[in-house]
Amino acid sequence: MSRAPHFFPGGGRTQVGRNIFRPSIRKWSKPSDPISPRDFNSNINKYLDKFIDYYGLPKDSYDKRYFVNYFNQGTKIEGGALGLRDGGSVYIDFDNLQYKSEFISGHMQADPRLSTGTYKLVYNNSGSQTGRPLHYYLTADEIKYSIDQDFGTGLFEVSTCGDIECAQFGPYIIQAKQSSNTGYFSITEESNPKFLSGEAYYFSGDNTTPSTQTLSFYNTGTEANNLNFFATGLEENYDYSIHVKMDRKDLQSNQMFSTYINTNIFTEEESLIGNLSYKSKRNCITFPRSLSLRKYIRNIEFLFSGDLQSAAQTKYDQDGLVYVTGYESGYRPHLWSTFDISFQCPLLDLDNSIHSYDENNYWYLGAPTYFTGHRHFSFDEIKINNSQMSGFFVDAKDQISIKTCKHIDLSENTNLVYFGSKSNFTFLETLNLSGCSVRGQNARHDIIINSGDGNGFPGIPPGIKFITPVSAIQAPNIRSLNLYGNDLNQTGIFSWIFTCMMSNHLPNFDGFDSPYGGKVSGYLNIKNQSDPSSVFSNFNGDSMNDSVLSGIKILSGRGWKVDYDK
Amino acid sequence: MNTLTLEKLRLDNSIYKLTEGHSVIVLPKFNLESDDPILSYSWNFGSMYSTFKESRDETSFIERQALTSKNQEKVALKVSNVSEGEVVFFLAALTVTTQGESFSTSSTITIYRGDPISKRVPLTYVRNGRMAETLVYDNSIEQRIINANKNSEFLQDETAINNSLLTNEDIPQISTPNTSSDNFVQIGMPTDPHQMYSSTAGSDPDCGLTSRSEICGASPPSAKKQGKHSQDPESDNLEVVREKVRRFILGIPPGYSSIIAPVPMPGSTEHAIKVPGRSTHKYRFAPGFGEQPSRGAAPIYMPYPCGGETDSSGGGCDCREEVVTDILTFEEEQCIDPEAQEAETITKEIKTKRTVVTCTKTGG
Repeated sequence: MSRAPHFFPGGGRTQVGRNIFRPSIRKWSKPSDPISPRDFNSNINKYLDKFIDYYGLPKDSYDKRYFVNYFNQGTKIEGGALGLRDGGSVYIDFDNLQYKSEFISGHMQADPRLSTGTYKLVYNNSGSQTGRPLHYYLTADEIKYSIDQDFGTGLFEVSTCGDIECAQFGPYIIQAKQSSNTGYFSITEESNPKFLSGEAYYFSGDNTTPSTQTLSFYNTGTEANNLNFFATGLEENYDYSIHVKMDRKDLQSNQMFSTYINTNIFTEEESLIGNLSYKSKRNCITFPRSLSLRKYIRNIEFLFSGDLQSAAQTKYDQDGLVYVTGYESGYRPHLWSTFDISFQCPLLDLDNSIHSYDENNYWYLGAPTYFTGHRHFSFDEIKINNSQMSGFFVDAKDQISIKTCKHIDLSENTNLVYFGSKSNFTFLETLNLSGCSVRGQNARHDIIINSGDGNGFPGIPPGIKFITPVSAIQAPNIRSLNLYGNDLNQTGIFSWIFTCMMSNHLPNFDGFDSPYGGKVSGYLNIKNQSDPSSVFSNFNGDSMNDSVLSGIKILSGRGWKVDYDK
Repeated sequence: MNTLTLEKLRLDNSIYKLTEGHSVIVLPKFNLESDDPILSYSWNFGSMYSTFKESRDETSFIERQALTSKNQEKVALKVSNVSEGEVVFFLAALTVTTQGESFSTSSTITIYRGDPISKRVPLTYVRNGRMAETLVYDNSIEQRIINANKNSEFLQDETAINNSLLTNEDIPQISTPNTSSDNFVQIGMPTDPHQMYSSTAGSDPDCGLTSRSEICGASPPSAKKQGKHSQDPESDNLEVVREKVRRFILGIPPGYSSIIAPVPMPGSTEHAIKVPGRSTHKYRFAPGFGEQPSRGAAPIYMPYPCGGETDSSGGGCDCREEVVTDILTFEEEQCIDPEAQEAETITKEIKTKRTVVTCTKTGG
C-alpha cells in the first residue's frame, strides 16, 4: 500500500512525507516554481539569467550592469574586478579595476554688477543727508543698521516686503517709529542705473499714523548671462541630457520661482562642453541653481508576488516564498551627477580692490577684524588682501557663505592668524594664505576653543566654541593651497597636509583618475614659516616630523607639487 | 517660498508691524511681466479677519480706510485700531488691463501689533444628538502668519467642507511617460536604475497563481493569470495612474473594488471649514468621546462680534440673532408580537434649538 504524501504548505518550505524541499536556483524553471528570498539574495545574477531565458528577452531590452547593484551606479568597471572570498570578506584587486564615472561640472561666474553695484540713500527731512554706499544684495537688517548709523538711531524700522524667506535685493518696507512727520528717503549715486535702478515710494502719515515707504529696485531684464559647463566620462552607446534648474526672483512682489529646463538628448564620446545662456525677465533676477547630467538606460525589472524591495525582510526572516510573475521594461533618464551652483540667491564675489574691506563697506561680514560670513550671502570668490583682518572663521549658521565658494585669496593680510570654519568648504579649489601670520592650527588637536571665556583665541570671532580638528579645514575639492610665509609649526603644517590628503584630487588608490577628468594634480606650498621647527630634512624618529615628511612624500608621489623647507 | 506656478502678474504678500500707535499704512506692490502698457488698474481688498474677531474673549475694533483711489497704479490703505497682540489678515486683489490682455492676482496682507497672541476659537459640534461647544486652538499664530506670507492662509471657499466634495477631478493629473526623446518625467526622478520603468509587458501564461487583480478592478479580466504586479500593456493608462494617486492620497478604499473614499478617523485629517464671519481655514477635528460616532461634525453655530469695517466710502455691518429649531426625524422598529416576530416602524423626532447670527453689510 502506497502512502499518501502529506503537504504542509507555507513556512518557507514544502514537506512531502519526511522530506523537506527548499526552493533553490537549480530547481527554478518556470514562474510557478517558488523562490526563497534568502536563496534569491545569494544567487541574484543566476536567477536573473534564468528569468531572461524563460521570458526570451532580447539582448537589447536589458542592461545587466544596472540591474540590481545599487553600489555601482555611476561607475564603470572595465575589465572587471576580481572578487576573492576569504573568510567571508571580499577583496578587490584594484590593479585590475579601471574606475570611470560620468561627471558634470562647470564654472558659474558671479555677476559683478550684483556683487559690487551700490547705491546711496538720501534722507530728506528739513535738509538732505546722504548715507554710505549700500550693496543691492543687502537684507533689511543691514539697511536698518545703515539708517541707524548714518541718519540717527531709532527713527525707522526696516522689514522685508513680500516673502520673508527672500531677504536679498529688496523690496523693503521702511516704517517711521514716530507719528509725526519724520522725513522720507530717496536714492542717489546708483553705480549702474541701466542695469539696476531703485525707487523709494513714500506715503506720509498723520498725527496718529507713522509714515511708510517702500524701497525697491528695477531692471530691464535684457542682459544676457552665460554659464559654461562640461561633462566627462560619458559612454558612447548611451543617451544623455542636461537638466537645469533656474530660479527667478521678482524684484517688485518679492516672490521666488523655480523653472526647469531640459536639453535635447545627445550621445557623445567621452566628454562634452556646453554653454547655458539666459536672460532675466523685466524686474527680475534670474540665476541657475544646479545642472544635472541624466543618463538614459533601457532596462527591465522582474516582478514578484511579494514586494522584494520593502517586504523582503519579512519574507526573508520567515523564510517565506515568492513567485516571479512578469516583468516591466522601461527607458528613462537617471540622475547621474549634479553640479550645484548656488542656493538662495545669486552668487556674489567679494573683492576688496573695489570696495576696501572696512567697517563702512562690509560691517555685516565682521569687517575689519574678522570675516564671519552671513546667513544669506553665497560667495563664489573671496579676495581680501592687505586688510586688518585677524581671523577668517565662519560659524555653522553662516555656512552658506562658503558652501559654494571656489577661490579664496587672503594673501598679505599680515594680521591674519586663524583661518577655519565649523562647516565644509565644499567647492573650494584654491586657497591662498601666503604672507599672513596663520598659526591657529599650531595648537594641539582636540582642545576646546572658546572665544568668549576671556582666554579668547586669536583670530576667532566672539561667541565661538569648538574643538580643534585634526584637519585644518574640510575642503574635499582643494587642489591648490599656498601657505608661504606664515607662522605654522610642525603641528600646524601637519593639519594642512591632512586637508590635502583628504582631497578628492588625491585618489586613494593608484590607477584611479580624478573624478574631474584627466590626471591628478595639486599644489601645496609650506615654505618660509617663521617657526624654526618647520624644516623637514630627514626622517628622525620624531612623530610629527616624520608624519609631515610622510604626507609630503605621498602627495608628491600622486601628482602634487609640494614646496617645503628642507 | 519657491513655487512652480508662474503668473505674469504678481502681488506681494507682506507683513506689517505697527511701530507706533494703533495705525499703519499699507502699500501693496506688484510686478507685471508684459511689455504692453497698462491701460487700467482695479484694486480690491477683501474682508478683514483678525484673531480678535474670531475669539470670543476679545473684541476687535479694526478699521480700514483707502487713502487713494483704487484705480491707480500705486495705492495706499490705512488700517486703524489694531489692538495689542492682535493679528489682522486681508486679501488684496489687482486686475490690470493692457491692450491685449487682462491679468488678475491676489495676495494676503498681514498686520500685527506687539507680540502676536494665539487665541482660542469656539467650535460647536454634535455630541449624542446634542449641541456641544469647545474652545480650540486651530493653529499657532506664528504658523498662520507664515501661511499668510505664503499666500495660503486663506483657502478658496470652494474647497471648504460642506461646500464641495472631493471628486476625481481634484486629484493631480499625471501624464504617462513614453520613450519619446522629448517627453519624460521631470519631477521626482528616482535615482536607482532598477526603480525606473514605464511600459509593462510579460506574464507567465502557465502560471496557475491567482491573486487579486489590479487597482479596484481597473485591469481587464485578461490579467487574471498574471501576478500581482504584472500588468497588461494597455492597463497602464491614465485611469490606472489616477487611481494609484487617489489611493496614495486617500488610502485603500473600503471593500474590494470599491471606489468610495474611506471615511478617515477624526483627528487624522485636516478639513477646510467655512463659517460665516470667519476666514476659511484648516481644522483638525477632535476625536469623539464615549459612544460618539467617530465622524467629525462640522461646526454649526459660532457667534461673533461684528468688526467694524469701513473703506473710504463708509459702511459697516449689521447683525441680528434668530432662534432656529432643528428637527431630526428617524425611524425605529418596535416589536409588537415576539412570537410572531412582528414589528412596526414608528417615526421619532428630536428637536434642537440653536441661535443663528446673520450679519449683512450696510452702507457703502
